Amino acid sequence: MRILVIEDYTPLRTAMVESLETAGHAVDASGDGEEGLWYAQNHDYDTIILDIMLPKLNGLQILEAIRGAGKGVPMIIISARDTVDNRIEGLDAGADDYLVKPFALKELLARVRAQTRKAYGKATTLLTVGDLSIDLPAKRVLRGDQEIKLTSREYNLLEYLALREGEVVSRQEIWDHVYNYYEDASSNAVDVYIGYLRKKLGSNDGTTYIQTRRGQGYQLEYQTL
Amino acid sequence: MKFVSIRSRLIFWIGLTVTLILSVGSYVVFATVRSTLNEEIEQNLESTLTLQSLELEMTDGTIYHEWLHDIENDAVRRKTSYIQVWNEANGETTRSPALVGTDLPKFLGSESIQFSNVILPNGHHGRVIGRQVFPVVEWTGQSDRASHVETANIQAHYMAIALDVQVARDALERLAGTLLLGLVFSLLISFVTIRLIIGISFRPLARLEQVIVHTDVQDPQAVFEVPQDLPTEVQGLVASYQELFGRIGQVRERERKFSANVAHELRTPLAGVGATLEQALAVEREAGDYKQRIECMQGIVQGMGELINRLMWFSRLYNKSESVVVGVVDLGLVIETRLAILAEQAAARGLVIDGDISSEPCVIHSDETLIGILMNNLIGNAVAHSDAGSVVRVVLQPVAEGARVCISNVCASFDATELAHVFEPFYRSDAARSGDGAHSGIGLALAQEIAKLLHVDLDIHFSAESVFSVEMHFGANNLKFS
Repeated sequence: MRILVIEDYTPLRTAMVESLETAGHAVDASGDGEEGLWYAQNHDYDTIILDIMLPKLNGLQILEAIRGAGKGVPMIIISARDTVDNRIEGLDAGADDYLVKPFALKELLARVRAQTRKAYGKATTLLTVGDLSIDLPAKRVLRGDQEIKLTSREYNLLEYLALREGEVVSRQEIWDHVYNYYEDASSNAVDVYIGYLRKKLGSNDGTTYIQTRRGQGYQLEYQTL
Repeated sequence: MKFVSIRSRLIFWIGLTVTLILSVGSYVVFATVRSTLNEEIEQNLESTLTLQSLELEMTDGTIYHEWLHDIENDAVRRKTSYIQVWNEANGETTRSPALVGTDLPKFLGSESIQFSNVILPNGHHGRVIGRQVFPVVEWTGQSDRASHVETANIQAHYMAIALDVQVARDALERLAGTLLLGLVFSLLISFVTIRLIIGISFRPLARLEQVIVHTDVQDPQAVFEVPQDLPTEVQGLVASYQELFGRIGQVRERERKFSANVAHELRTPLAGVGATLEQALAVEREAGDYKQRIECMQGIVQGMGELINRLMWFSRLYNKSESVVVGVVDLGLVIETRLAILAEQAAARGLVIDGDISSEPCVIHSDETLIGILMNNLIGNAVAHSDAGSVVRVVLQPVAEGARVCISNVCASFDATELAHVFEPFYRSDAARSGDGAHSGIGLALAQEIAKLLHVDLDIHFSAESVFSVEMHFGANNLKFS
């Protein structure tokens, strides 16, 4: 998932970015409100994490600008302001969640997962496609009762496709939501990992999960021959 | 007499006044009645004496007591008329039967004499009047009356008449008793009424007390509701109380905001420490990686320590609990020391420090520690927020009765509209926000508090050329401490 972090306090921002990346997210980060808003307006994020007290443009102004533009991207406020009024103000401005500093990174990751899941209309943390099941918190994939070992990139790709199960997902969308902009920039990187994933999910009974829609992209759909 | 209680004071003084008024009034009534009665009795006695003296006759040299004859022929008067006559020539005395042989008081002389408190034979109190009288001369011969009187040997007599005044006396005693009883009863009623009125008057105060007791000073939204029927006499006091409560509320609100801001300022670096630590421990790392993260946390903790130190100073100064230790302070030395400490930081930002420190000694009487903190904050602020590669200028000049210090730096991103807020605690302009969290927005507020405490004139300016400058004048006020 692609996450945007807008936080001006460098040590905290660095730790959050690292933690999110370790959890398999593609992360963009900004230290001021103006730049953060530019990122938010020009990219498609699964979740935006933002502080309130920011240089140039504060978090509430960013929230209003994004919601004003009609974007429904999940937004989590992280703030040292802990009063009920502060929380109400943040949530009323359009935030989906409010996390008071200091917080555990694990909790932040869980909230990001919850917001992402909600954004894709998934109620549970266990996604199933045919006999394939994906445990989101544990990042485990089972086919029947047999675990399939995936690399971090393969898992992230499968998770994204699973969240959008039944939909045709373009290569650009996969790139935007799974890859960091600064990494492997080869044009067929998505196709290569789709190929890896197909092999690992493949079976002898002829069932397939990832369908190619020529000229459009890929679709996660359980099909038997 | 001193009273602590208003209620007691009112009861005592009002009670005393009412007692005096009622006592004097009662006495005046009693005295008037008694006086009128006595006057009536005296007139009565006087008239009786005059009439009875005409009943003393002398006919052909013989004295006839006609008055006695009249009394003896009247059964009632025999018991109630007290008359005694003395013949001054031979000392003979004649008494009415009611006197049963006892004497009335007797004085010699022609003027009427009254005795107001005489015990009569029947045991009653009586009033007596007496005076010298002469018998009425009667004649039976052919000579004219005038020549007869001239030739008669008229003997002087003394007549005393007593009147039983027991009834009047009893009436006066009853009147006195009634008045006394009325006085006591009136006093009791007065005390009860006064107490009741005072009690009713004090009821709004009691309600006010309850309002004060139940006003939650912890709640900044709490409203101090004054009872509507509060006496006008205490409304001024209540207004003062309201003002006091308002001031307390403002102080509490200020404290609350201060605490919230302190918590806010500490939460973010604390979150940084927590997140860095959590992330460091999330996976096995190389020693160098751990070292880098520990150094990061060390930097955060140092920043927090500095912040807490500033907050402590600010809190002490803000609450006027910091005392000034006066000594001789060489401003030039203080500034040069700060510039030396900040040189490395300035160099790292590519700044040029232009120090124009007067060679003449600029010595003031002030607190060296606080002056050090003041200079450190202001010069440190200039070094931290000056545009990279620009010049930070520090000028120290001796002036009449003191010294002038001016610290200026270029900050193109500073918004002139924020100039009015830079001394507010925890206020940070966008230009002052930095990702390392080193600036909490307390430095200039702290500098202002120190300037106030040390009587230093402190002004800030922002020019059209984006030069932010702080000017201080250590004037005659700094000599107050010497």
